[in-house]
Amino acid sequence: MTLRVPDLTTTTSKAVAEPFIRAEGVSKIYGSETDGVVALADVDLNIDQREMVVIVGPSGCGKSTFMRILAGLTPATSGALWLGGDQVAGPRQDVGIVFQSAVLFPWRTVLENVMLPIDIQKRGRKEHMQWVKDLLLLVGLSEFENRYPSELSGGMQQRVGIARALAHDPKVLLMDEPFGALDAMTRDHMNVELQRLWAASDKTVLFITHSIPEAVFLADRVVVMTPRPGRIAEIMPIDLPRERTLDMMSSPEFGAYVRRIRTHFGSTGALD
Amino acid sequence: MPDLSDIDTLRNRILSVFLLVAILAVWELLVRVGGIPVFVLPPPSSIFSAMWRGFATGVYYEHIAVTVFQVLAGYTIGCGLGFLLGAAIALNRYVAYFLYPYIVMFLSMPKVALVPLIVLWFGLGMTSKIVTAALISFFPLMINTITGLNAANKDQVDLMRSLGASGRQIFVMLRLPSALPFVFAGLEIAVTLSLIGTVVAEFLGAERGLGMLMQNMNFLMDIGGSFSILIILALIGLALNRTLLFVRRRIYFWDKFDQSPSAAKKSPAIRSAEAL
Repeated sequence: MTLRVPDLTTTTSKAVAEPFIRAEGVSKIYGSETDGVVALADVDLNIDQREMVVIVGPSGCGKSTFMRILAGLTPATSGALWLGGDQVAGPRQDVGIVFQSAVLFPWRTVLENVMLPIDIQKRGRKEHMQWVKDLLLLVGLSEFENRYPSELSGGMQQRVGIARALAHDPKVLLMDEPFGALDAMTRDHMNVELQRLWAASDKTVLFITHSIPEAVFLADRVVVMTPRPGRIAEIMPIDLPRERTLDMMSSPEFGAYVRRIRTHFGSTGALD
Repeated sequence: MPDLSDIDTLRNRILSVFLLVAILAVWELLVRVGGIPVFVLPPPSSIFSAMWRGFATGVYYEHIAVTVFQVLAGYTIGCGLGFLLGAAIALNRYVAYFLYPYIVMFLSMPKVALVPLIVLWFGLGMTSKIVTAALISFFPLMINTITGLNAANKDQVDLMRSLGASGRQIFVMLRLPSALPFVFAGLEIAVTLSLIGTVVAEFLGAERGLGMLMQNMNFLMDIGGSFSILIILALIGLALNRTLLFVRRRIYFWDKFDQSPSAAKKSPAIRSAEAL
């Protein structure tokens, strides 16, 4: 078992260096500035390279909005975001996104779906054929490369979505509740798989969920967000050893983290 | 139509042929014995003999060719223009803003009511039939193209944008294929409508064509002949539909995988009622 030290503990030595992702005072107001809905209020967040950061919070806490701003899909109302040294001003080619539903194109085969970023960015199918096949091997779908998405199960579809998000070799992987639509057992399995994938890569992952255990299981740091207006309530380093196993989810340390995060969401504990 | 493939056995096929023969026999018997006048309901035998006469003398071939040509020409022109204008409306907000009021007005107008005017304007030749077929197939195509080009899932659009896709790429790689189910639904409605439109225009005044022929037969009380034309028209409609279905399976091939009950699948019946 490789024990990976969470990046947070090393940030003191890196403190002089620019963080890989830096958000400063990011706010988003839908509607007019005066009486619009505040989706995101004054979010500051730094994320290091190769870090796995999980944002957890109920619906309406602005976690998806933050991700959309980071991906350049929505402009922030105020504040600024830097990714790898450049300010985010619009969609960029070094970000991979995984949505809650797999968002596959039904007229493309599994292989062609994974090829989508290559096609869009005109990188050349031929040159990337082996790379894409390797990705399919990585997510365990090699035998299915010529199938169409609807011939696959939900979990398999989502794995195609993950392979596609990696196809253009982005530095950052943004995952918006990617396993939210899966059944609990498939979900656990996918979390283990994701951890394995991430550990073997050099990607920085920003993962969004409303499941507290999922957040604790995956994260180097959990960013707890609360709604109305969406803001960061706490940033919590998760000091559990890697590689994490499903057994660890019943350990007292794990439970302590979960309880601590839950205190932010009131006595009802209602998330969605 | 419910799935009946499990009872489609050889035995049942033979039985269904027997059923047809039985119906025809009862029909023949009722007309002959029951004394129903031939000009009200001709017996099957007189319909078949009219059919035989029509083909043996070669009269039918020319009229079939004229009608089919008019249907196909009008259909192609109407669908082509409908698709183009639909795409223009879907892609350009200004085109949509300025044209939409007129389209809504035309949409609620019964298109067959225009046919007498079209015949007046374009004469008794083929042009008036082609214009009618084009006009009547134009609207379902245009409406379904607009709906279809806006049917792309928002996440799919965001995904492409996040990868740096251009508007052109989003159109070609996403919006166009997403529109196909709707476009084919429109094409299916339009093919039936263009046949109806052509025949109606031929009724109102034509030199050749199956509608004209049937009109003449009615005047001459050759009701057996009229029925034989009806059968031919039904077969033409069936052939056009089957051809389209064949093309559809080639191009919109992922239909068989698509389990979601999309709006496109429900719309044809509603739309065809509107389109007339």
